[in-house]
Amino acid sequence: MAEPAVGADPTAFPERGARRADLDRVVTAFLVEEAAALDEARYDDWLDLLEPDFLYRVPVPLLREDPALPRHSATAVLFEATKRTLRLKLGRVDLRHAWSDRPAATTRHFLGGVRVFAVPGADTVRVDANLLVTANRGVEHSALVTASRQDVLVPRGGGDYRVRARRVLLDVEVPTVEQLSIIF
Amino acid sequence: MGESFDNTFRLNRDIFFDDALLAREYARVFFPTWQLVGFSDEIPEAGDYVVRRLGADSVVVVRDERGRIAVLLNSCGHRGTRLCQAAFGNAAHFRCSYHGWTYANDGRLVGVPGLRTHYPPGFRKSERDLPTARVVCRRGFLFATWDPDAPDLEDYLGDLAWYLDALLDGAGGEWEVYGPPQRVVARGNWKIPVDNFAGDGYHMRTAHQIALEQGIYGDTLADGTRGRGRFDLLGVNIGTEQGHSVRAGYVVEKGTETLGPLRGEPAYPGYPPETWPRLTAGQTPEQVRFNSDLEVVHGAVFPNAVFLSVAHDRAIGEDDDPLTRYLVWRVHSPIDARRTECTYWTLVPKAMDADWKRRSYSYQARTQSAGGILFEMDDFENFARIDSAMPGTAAGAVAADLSLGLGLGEPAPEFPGPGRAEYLTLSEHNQRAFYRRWAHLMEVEADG
Ligand code: FES
Ligand SMILES: [Fe+2]
Repeated sequence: MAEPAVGADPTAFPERGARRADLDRVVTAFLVEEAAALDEARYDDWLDLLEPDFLYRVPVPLLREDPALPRHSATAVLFEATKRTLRLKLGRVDLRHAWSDRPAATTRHFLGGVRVFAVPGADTVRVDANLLVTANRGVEHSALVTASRQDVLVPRGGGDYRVRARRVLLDVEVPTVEQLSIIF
Repeated sequence: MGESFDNTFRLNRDIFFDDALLAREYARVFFPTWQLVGFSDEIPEAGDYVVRRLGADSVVVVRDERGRIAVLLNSCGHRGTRLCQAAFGNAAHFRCSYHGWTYANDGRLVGVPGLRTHYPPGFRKSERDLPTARVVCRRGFLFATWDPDAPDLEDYLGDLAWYLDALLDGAGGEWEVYGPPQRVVARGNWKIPVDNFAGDGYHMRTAHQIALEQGIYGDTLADGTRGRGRFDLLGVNIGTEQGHSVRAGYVVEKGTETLGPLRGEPAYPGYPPETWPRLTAGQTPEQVRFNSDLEVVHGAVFPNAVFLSVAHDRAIGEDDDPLTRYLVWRVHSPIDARRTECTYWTLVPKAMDADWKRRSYSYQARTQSAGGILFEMDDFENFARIDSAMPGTAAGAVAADLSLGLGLGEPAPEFPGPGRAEYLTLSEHNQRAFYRRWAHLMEVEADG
């Protein structure tokens, strides 16, 4: 299928460089705290962990015949957000007419297999992890999603980081609205 | 369903949750109509295919070795096995995974293992080609129907064809599909989102109140009703006999109730101002009148395709981002009576540069895509709330109401497009056109 021809793509995600197993523990600790901020609905704390130019993307899953070809689109996304758009989204919870956020769903992020890689030519790191998230609200809204989550982290020293980019590669080909309403 | 003389238009609610009724819809609404199955851009090379739905059936939309587009039933003629399991790809042949019957990519059965040795002499391969639907490529849009007796696509579209052309010609005439489509499964009957896109300006102030309060449309008037400064939004509704619809919202001086002659130079909000003279030059005077000052336009191609074109600015982009428009097309395919698969294609004008195209796509993805947490989620939330509340014994016995604006619209005789156009910014005119057509095909009595 045709992917549009575009110039230098600001949404391009960095390739993995050398494996940095020495950083696995400290980065895992950071990501566990980060996920807790989301699950505990401490959204201001969570937004503080994002770089100003943060870009969040959920590429369109591609079910193709040949397993050697990429399983997700390089250009098309189910969803995309900047820090500004996420601030709007998370700010909704305090507003009375945010129908899809009130009552709010309870989410729980389960993070596993965290592996840190260098990013060639940069002092950031790329972190690949397995993610399972559940979201529940009332009787009918119940979602479970698994994904490969990939982050670009900027080191701040002393084991602290900021998230510059996040890419969520869903395992499900055609997700439900409930699955897609999760911030991964 | 029915219209009565006491200013009401109602629908029986079981049409939104009854599976037996869906089976009738497949036969009476989906079989005889043309449906959007994709875009020729998606299958540029010989052998390229995408798997889509046409009514109740899975189909392979494929470009054959001679470059012609075919829509093939995705089911082997031997025992019915699904032929294409992937969502898209490239293949010269489709070989069935069960016993190996093999079809050329134009649907001809070309290989049957054991044909000469194990089949009776009168068995003819040539009588067992895959069923193919009629397909027409109209300006890159692929419409298909199973019905050999369906009218030609142009007759089927009727007055809507003018509006589709005006929409495409308004930005240079040549468009491309931006990447593979977004797909999502939503709760609620397929007619609920179609009804919404056909003409529901009424939900903006409630369902999307939060998005409007948060200012996601920036300085535009796309919220439908809240004019800013000296401007207002004037809605024109076009609902056709074939059940198609267009709702066009224009920026007008406050207090204006009809579209007068064009004042000053034509303006196309959401496209770069330096391109406006060029865009004007590519249109007929009537198209210019239709597209100029057009803030938001949406509508439906009966039965299940819808479109929306609207602009956003820095509120969801960066501080220096200009007002940028996107055009999205969607198809709503029933999975069952209460679940719908939505497929979204964003189209971008070929005349715009790569940055503009990317921004247009991003704006669609951030607000209105399957995962558009700033806007689309509140629609899906409402569709799910309809689905969970409607099927009760008492709830199912209440009628759904579509009386908004009934008999109140002013005809718009000077409007440049064909069809019965009427002025009324908030009206269920278009939804009534959709359900009238639907009821006609379903042979449902109009009993008030
Ligand atoms: S079912 Fe396809 S070859 Fe037998
Ligand atoms: Fe909406």
